Amino acid sequence: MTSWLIALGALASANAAGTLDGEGAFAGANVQVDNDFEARYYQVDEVLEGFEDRAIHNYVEQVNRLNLLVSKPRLSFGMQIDQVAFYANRYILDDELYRSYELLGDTVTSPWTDAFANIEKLYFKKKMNKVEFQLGDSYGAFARGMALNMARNTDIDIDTSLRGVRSVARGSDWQFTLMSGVTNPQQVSQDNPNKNIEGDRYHMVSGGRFERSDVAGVDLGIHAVMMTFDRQDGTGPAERFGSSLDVLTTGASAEAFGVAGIDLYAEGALYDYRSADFFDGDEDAVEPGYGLYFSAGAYPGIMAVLIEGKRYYNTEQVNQYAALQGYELVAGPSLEYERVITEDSSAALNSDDIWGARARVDFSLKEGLLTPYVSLAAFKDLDTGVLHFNEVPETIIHPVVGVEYFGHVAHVVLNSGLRNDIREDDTGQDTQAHIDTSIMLPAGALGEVELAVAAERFLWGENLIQQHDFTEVEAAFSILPNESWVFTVFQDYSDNPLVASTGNVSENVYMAGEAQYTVTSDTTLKLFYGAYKAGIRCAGGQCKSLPGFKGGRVALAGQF
Amino acid sequence: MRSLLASRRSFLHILAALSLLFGAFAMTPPALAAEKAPDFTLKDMNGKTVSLSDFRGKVVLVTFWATWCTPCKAEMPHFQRMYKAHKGDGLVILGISIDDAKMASKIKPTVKMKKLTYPILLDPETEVVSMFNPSKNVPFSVLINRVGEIERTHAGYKPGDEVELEKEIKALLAK
Repeated sequence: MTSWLIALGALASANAAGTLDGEGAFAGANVQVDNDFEARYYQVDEVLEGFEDRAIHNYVEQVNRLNLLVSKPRLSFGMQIDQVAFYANRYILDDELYRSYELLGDTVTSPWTDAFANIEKLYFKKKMNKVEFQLGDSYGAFARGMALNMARNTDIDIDTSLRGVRSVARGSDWQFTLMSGVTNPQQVSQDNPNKNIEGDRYHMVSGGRFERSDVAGVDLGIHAVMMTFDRQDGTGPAERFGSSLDVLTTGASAEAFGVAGIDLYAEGALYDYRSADFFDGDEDAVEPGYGLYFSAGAYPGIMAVLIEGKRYYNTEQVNQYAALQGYELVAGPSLEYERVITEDSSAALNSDDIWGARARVDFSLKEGLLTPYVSLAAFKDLDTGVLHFNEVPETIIHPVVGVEYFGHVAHVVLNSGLRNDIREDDTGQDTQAHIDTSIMLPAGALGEVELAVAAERFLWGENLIQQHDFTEVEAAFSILPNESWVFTVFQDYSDNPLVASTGNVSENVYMAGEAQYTVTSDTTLKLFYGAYKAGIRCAGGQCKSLPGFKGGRVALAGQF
Repeated sequence: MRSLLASRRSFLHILAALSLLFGAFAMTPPALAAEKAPDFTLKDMNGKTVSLSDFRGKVVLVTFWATWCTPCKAEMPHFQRMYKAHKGDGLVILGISIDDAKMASKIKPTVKMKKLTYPILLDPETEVVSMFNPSKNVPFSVLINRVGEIERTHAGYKPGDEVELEKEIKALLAK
């Protein structure tokens, strides 16, 4: 293991920034290395029977993400190496060796029991005058993402690329994108605990999109995507794919700018399911899906008015195999205020049968420094079942008001809303009141101070699995004395029984502190100790249940 | 009587890893040779195609941002002020949104409300940001001189960062 660590250190030390010498295609190329190192000490509530006085299950997890980028103006090569290791994860009980937690699952191999390294991303890209060609890992999103949306979601630590080929050809008024490969989700999480890491499931995805701009003032696009999913219930590659083609998604988009002062966008998608596996094996239930989305934006005077609408039916089935690994291949605009999504409303966000619309008006005051807004979203969610916590359709009404002020030395961001999920029977409604704010102000000798608070109160109506009403608060107070240091105190509160964590101050209260030191403009060191709560978090139309944390953490991230 | 022995030796390993890594970070990087900025092509908010190579001979500040990023919005007024002040001297600012495809409708209202007049480009597949900043965190900015070489990169934003940036922009514009 020590040799492994030395190799890691040597790798990290190979931060040769600058240019490559010699001859060949990459002669004179820039070399850039990013490295993100983190070690986390987990204080675990679980105890070993008979030894309750000893925190035997506490352990250390160390993760490292190294990105190498070699680039010339028209040629580039990129590689991401992820590495994770457990320490202090073993104990000997009655002369027998045990592990508190397994790092690796059954479907991944590693020379080390408590360590794993992986070339997670790898690509080679060539740009010519009218054509770009990429071999290896790439990302792809067609139009607004209803037919294909593979992009890294940093907010919730999701990074799934397509490993294969991607090419883009473009002319003065057209563009053609073609991509084909297998899905490559990240196996090592940089921000969240890694346990029982499983091998990749290689779903096959191939698609193309053609765009033509300014056809009678309208930009048009058409696209198609073929998907075949790996069920991993066979033994060989041929058996692992259920059919030659599982889903064919096709779609078209149209966008026009400034039509009578209005920007217009419309998109439609069709989902042709070729396998009953998406419908629990019931051939009779196989039914195509469709999605429609439109937006209209206008900017009269000091206002920006944005109106959006959506209709999704059987659009989520396509994600069911990818969702087993925690990501989605297809995700259109949700129109939701995603910062306050709960276990209940995440079902509406991912509903398979929903209508929705949202109108938002922003006002630009003080030369754009002050921008208040009002927003109203309304949905008719016809999907029901356990995840929805109700057996009848719901009408969802969600007004939100807010303001942003970004001055030269201070900022204030405030959002507040009230969401009502009203059932179409006599079992009442779910009600959620929420507020979040971030305020940064100059504070004399202290430099700047920042306060960020998000709070919500959720009241359940009657539902299939009756839950308790709950309150959740997340607060952070930071002092920025100079350009190098940031000191932050965090406090969370939650009495939500669905939150799978306990606090370090009391069962419902979590506290933590963090010091951040900026070593150079590109290198940051963070030291954290304390606890934060678990919870569901949504971003970009995808939701993820993120675990809580109790313990200490040191992180060093830099670019060379 | 049951016996229990915890593995302590592993702590030595992580200390070794930490010391190696911190040592590596502490190494003085070699003197940087001039780095040519990789060219890229993206669409702007109105569907027009824009390439970095369109701005040869200009000082270009490429700034990556997202509608959900508060520090990105905090630095926008400074960028707008710099753009207005130095545009005539040859400064170009390219604000590249890395918002996901499904968020695209939100970008233009944000730009309009902030009264930004510098070009805003769309990178929904995070293809271009990964060419400059593989970790893809925002805000992130790249300052490119008149001959297309990267002079400076900067991650994050804290009040006061814009002062140093503007000094460097002025110096490059004077060359």
